Amino acid sequence: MRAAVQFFAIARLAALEAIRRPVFLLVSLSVLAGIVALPLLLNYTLGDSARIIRDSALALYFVGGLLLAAHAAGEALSRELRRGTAAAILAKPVSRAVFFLAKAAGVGAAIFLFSVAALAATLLAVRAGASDLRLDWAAAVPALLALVFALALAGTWNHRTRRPFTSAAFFLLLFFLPLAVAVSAFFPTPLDHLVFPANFTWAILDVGLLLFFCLGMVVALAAALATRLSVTPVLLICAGFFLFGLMSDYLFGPHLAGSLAARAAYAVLPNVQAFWLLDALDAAARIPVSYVVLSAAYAAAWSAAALALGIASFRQLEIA
Amino acid sequence: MSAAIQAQDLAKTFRDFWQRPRVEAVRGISFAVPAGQVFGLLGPNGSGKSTTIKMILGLLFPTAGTLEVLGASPRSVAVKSRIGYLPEESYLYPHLTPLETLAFYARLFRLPPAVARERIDQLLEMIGLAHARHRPVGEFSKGMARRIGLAQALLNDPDLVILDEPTAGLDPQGTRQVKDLILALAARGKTVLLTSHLLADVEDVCRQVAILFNGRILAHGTLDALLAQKDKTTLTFPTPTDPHALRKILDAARAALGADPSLDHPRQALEPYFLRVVADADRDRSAPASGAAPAAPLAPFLQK
Repeated sequence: MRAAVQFFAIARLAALEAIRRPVFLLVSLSVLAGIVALPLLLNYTLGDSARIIRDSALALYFVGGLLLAAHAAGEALSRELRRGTAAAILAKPVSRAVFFLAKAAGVGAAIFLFSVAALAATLLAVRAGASDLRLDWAAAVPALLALVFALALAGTWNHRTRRPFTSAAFFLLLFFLPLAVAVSAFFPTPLDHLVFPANFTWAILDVGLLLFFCLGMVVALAAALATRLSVTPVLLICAGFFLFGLMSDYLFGPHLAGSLAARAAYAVLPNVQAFWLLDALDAAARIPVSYVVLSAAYAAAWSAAALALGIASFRQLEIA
Repeated sequence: MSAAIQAQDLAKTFRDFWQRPRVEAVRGISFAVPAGQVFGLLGPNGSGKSTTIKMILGLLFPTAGTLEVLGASPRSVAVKSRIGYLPEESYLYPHLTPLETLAFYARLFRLPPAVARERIDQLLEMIGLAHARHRPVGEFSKGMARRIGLAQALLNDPDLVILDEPTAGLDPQGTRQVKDLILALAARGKTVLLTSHLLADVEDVCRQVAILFNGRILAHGTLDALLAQKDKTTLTFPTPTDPHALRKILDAARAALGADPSLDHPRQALEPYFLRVVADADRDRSAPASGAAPAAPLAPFLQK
C-alpha cells in the first residue's frame, strides 16, 4: 500500500513530464493532423480510398506511437539520471524497482492517452472517407474543429496562466477528439444513411487495442534500455527491434525447424505481425475476444520479461 | 557518543566501459560523524566529497571498505526515511510549482495528507516562498530553487540531514537562515553533514570537519583542535578614553613578553552588518518582493 502511493506519485509525474515535452505534442499533433487530413487528401482518388485511409491512419498511429513510446520512456529514465532528478528521488525511501516500474507505467499511461486521441481521430477519418467521391462532412468538420479549438484554447490558457502550452494542448485534443466522435455520432452517413452505432467502423478499435499492446512492449523495452543507454540509441534499437519483429515470420519462420539461432531470434523478437490485423477489418469482422486476450497475455509476458531485465540492470546502476 | 555515519577504509574507483579503473575518487578514508553534531566535509573540487555523499545515500556503491548510516546499510530503503538530502544542484521539475514539488516529495515520504499540508505550509513560510507557491520553479532564480531544495530535504523531519553546498547561490540573508537552521537542527539532536567551499560558513556551524584532497582525508577533528593557535593570545577590552592608557598597556606587555604585541580595533563581520542594513531597508519598503521574502522563523514542526 505504501509503495503504491509512491508508485502512483512517480508514475503520474512521469506521465505529465512526458506529455509536457514539446516533442510529445509535436509528434502527437503531426499524427493527429495527418490522420484527420487523410480523407481530404485521399477521398477523391480512384477506388478503395476508404481502405487506404484506414490503413494509413492506423500506420500513422503505430509509427507515431512507437516514436513517442521509445522517446518518452528513454527520456523518462536517461534524462532524469543525467539531470539528477533520479538521484533526488532515490535518496528518498523509494526502492529502485518502484521507481523504474513507475516511470515505465507513467510513460505507458501517456501512450494510452495518445492512443485514445489517435483512435478517435482514426474513427472520424475512416468515417469521413468511407465513400469514394463523397466526403462525410459530419465527421470531417468536427475532427478539424477539434484540432483548431484545442490549439486555440491551449494558447489562450497559456497566455492567461503561463502554464505549459504543450500539456494543455494535448489534454484539450484528448477532450475534443472524442467529443467530435460523439457529435458526429448524431448524424447519419451521407449515402446509405447509417445511424449510430452503424455510422462508425468500431472494429478499428479492436485493431487499435492490439496496436496499443504492441506499444506497451515498446515502452517496456525502451525503459529497460534507458537504464544504460541515452535516448538516441534507445530509439534506434527499439525501431530495429520492432522492424525485425514485423518481419520475423518471413525472416525466421522458414528456418525454425533447422536453426537454433532462428528459433532464439523468433522467440526474443516481438511478433508484431500478431498485432497488425487489418485483414480482419477487410473481412468486416470483429476480432474475437479470445484473440485479444491472448495477444494481451503475450504482450504482458514479453513486457514483463523486458521490465525484469530493466529492474535487474537498474538495481546495479550507479547514479553519479 | 554513537556515530550516525561510520566509514571504514572506504574507497571508490570509477571504471570505464571495459571495467578498467578510470578515476580513484575516494581512497580508503575512515571517519565517523557523531550523532547530534554538525560535521563538515571540506575539500577542493574533485576531492571526493560528492562521491562520499552519494555512497552515504546509496546512490554509488563502495569499491572497498564498509559504510554504515544510522546503523544500517546505505542501500537500505527504510533508513532513507530518516535522511534529508539537499543535492549540490537543485534537482527540481521545472514545470511543477513549489506546492506541487513538496506535495510530490511528501508522497514519496508517505506522509499522511494532513501532516504533509501542514509541513508544506510551514516550510514555504520558513523559506520565504509562500507568496510564490503557485509559480513554476523553472521561473525561479538559483537561490529560490535552492530554498525549495532545502524545504524538500526537511519535509520528513529527518534525523540525518545531508547538505551538499547548502549556501551556494543564496543571498546573505538566505545563507544566514541556512546556518541558523543547521544550528537549530543540531540543537534538537539532529545530525548534519555538510559540504561547502565557503569556509567561513563551515566555521560558523561545524563542530567537526574532515578535509579531503585527492580522495584522502588530510585532516580530521574538531574545529577548536584544528584551528586554535595555542602560541598566541588575544586580549579584548573597551577602547580607553585616556590616550596614554594604550601606550602604558603596550609598554607593560612588551616588558612582560619581551616581544612587540600587535594592537588593532576588532572588526565586526560583514555578514551581520549586511543583514542589519538590509533589514532596515526592508522595514521601509512599500512594494511587495518578487523574489524570496526575508527570512522567516524556523518551521514549527522543526522546533518540536
